[in-house]
Amino acid sequence: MAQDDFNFMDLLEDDDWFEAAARREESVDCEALAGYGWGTHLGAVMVNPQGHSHFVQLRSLVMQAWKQLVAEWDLGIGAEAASAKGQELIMERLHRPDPEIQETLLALLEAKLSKPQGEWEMTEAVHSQIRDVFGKVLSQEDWKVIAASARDHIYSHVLKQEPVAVESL
Amino acid sequence: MQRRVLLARGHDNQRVETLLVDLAQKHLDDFEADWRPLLEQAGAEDKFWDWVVKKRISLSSDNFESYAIEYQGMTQGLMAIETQWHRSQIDRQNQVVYVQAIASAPWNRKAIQQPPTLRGVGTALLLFARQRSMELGYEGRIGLHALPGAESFYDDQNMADYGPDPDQENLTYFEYGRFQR
Repeated sequence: MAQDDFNFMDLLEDDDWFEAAARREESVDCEALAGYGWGTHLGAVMVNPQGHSHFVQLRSLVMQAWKQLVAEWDLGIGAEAASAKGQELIMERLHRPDPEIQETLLALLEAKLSKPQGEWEMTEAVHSQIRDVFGKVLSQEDWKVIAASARDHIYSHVLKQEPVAVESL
Repeated sequence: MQRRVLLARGHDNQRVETLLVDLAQKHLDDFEADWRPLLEQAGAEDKFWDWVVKKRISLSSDNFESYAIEYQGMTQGLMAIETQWHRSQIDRQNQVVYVQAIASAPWNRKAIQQPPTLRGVGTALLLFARQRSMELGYEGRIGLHALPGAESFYDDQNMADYGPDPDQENLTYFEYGRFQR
């Protein structure tokens, strides 16, 4: 059979092939076989897949800038905790941001989408604009929570080493 | 578009005919009426910025396609694919069909209902994505991101595993290359 004649859907007619594939699928332990766990938003994704693709790309852009910022702080073993806490807070704060923030981020997204896939880069100018957004949407209390998450992680890490250090004396 | 798809009932493994069709309002209604209450019980989190989704960015949307599988009048599975923008990680000159979402109805998931109503819904949708890739001249190439719990499904099918993608919240990127018999 030529490749052009091959139809993947015909594989479902083969009982042995189907059984093996169905078992593999049943071993999956999450809500979606592919893509994000969209949960109750899956219906909205199906209606507007393009809009949700834009959301994923903008979130990726923002989180990339956040990770870059945290990396610049050079927090060592506290970096991961600070990054995770910051991501959580940014997701919340950008749920319903001011129109001005929305415009800034959508302009950045449009600039990214105007480039062929893989050709867009996080330039210093883009990073600077997103940092300004972080400065506006995160409150002083948020920054303290992020700092505390890094501090607490380092603190618990050091305390975990204490028995080891004492034993080795 | 309407294609006959052979799946199996969960309780007796009897093979049954289902239909794979273009997404229609009926499927969205089914989602709201029948899927959503079960998903809410599972505690799905609200993690979206609706203002991005609602904003119309002036780009063509001809490249997105959505499909559903129906059986006994109910929507059993949903899939969204993108067909123009994505490039192969193996050779960036080649286009891939990118699978944005594949999900089975909650009653077809073993974790929620045992036995499931239907078996093989996700498998059929994934096969159809490859078939679309053939039809579009992409030679069966498809790409997708998978949640941690779904990775073994693709590893077992010899899809190329490109590891966590930092651009996509560290979901693992998988790709089927050119189909060869």
